[in-house]
Amino acid sequence: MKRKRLLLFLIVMCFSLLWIGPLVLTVINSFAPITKGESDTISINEIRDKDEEGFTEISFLPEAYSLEQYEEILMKTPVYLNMFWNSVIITVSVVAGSVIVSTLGAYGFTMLRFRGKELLFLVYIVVMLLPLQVTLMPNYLIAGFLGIEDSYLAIILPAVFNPFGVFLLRQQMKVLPEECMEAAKIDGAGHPQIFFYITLPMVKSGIAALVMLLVIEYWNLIDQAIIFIKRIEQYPMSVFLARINKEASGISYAAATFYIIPVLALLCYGHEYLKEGIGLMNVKGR
Amino acid sequence: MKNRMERRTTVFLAFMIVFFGMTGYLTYYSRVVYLGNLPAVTVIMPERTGDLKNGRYTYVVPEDSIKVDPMGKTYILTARYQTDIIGERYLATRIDVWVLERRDDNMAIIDGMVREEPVLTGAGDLIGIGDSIVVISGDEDER
Repeated sequence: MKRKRLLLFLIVMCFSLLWIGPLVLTVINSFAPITKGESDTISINEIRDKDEEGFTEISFLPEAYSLEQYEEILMKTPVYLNMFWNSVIITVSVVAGSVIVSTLGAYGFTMLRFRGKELLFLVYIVVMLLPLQVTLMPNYLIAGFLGIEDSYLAIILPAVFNPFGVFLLRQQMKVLPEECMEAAKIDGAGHPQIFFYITLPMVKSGIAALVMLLVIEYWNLIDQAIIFIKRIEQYPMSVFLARINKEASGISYAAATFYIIPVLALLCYGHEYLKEGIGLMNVKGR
Repeated sequence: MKNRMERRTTVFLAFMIVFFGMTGYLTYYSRVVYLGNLPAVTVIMPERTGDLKNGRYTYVVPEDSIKVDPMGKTYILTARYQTDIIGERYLATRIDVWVLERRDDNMAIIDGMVREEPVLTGAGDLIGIGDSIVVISGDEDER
């Protein structure tokens, strides 16, 4: 039994190392100096085609350590921090809008009775199952029709009305005790009171899970930004990180490390909510 | 349990406030440093000749402001005023032109300018197209 557990522990450790390895290397290499010019052995932060056989010798750890990369992205060039704030604007708008729309939508689907409710919810699920790339073109056409194709609204509006949030919160609201709602109704509470004072406090973990999932998704968005945003100064930082090339590789590690901090902090803080919220998605209710 | 969550929330919020506060300050600081370090270039306002060519006015500019790209096309760099998230600055903007006449006083008459903008003189090859610049010549209308 003990041996089995040890084996399991080792396997889990191996997988953990596989996952955490790139993260650790990114953080370590963010302290490498910004390298310029040729050298026999290059650091991972200076990946490039080297010899005529096409092989590149890479040392995973830098030969020297400095804060040059951080100095460059945080103090010398405002472009990177601008991109960071662009990401913040997009993510915060999406999260705020989506939470409002999703809680109200989920409440409607759970508590209200109207004809075609289940059919409408089925449509929600179908839309949710569509890959992002499929809906990009219709979204682009609609954005063009509304005249918002070169603004953040083209990204934010489809995200705010994303059916996933409604689905997640509806699953949570389905398991709320019906007695509470009935008691509130007997006491004379209307839908606004039930929504704000009973339902919302009871689905806190679901909302927290939704917030985290949305932050992860829109903090790392690339496709929508590349398609909708034309001006480079409006790009979020995720686009820059996705376009790492030879020229920018020297600072990309520091940019990636810096960029990861808020999401990592959020996940460290709310991972229990996330587990709870996602776990409740499988619960069958009314 | 509740106490632990409250403590975690406090720590998390404090961390976020410090992180975003610092980032906000660094954004402001880096903009000031960036704008302070931009290359300074001299500009001259092109002089209109009064002639019309292809529906546009022709202009007199210093010969050293006319550049030739590897394809043999002649162009000039103008300082285009720009205000965006980084701040107020000028961008070196390429304008393709045709040299109509080269004069003895190191000036040339060009066709192709649509907007009257300050023309970069003597910038050499150090200033690239799209670079942010600081305009130091104050003798002309710079915008």
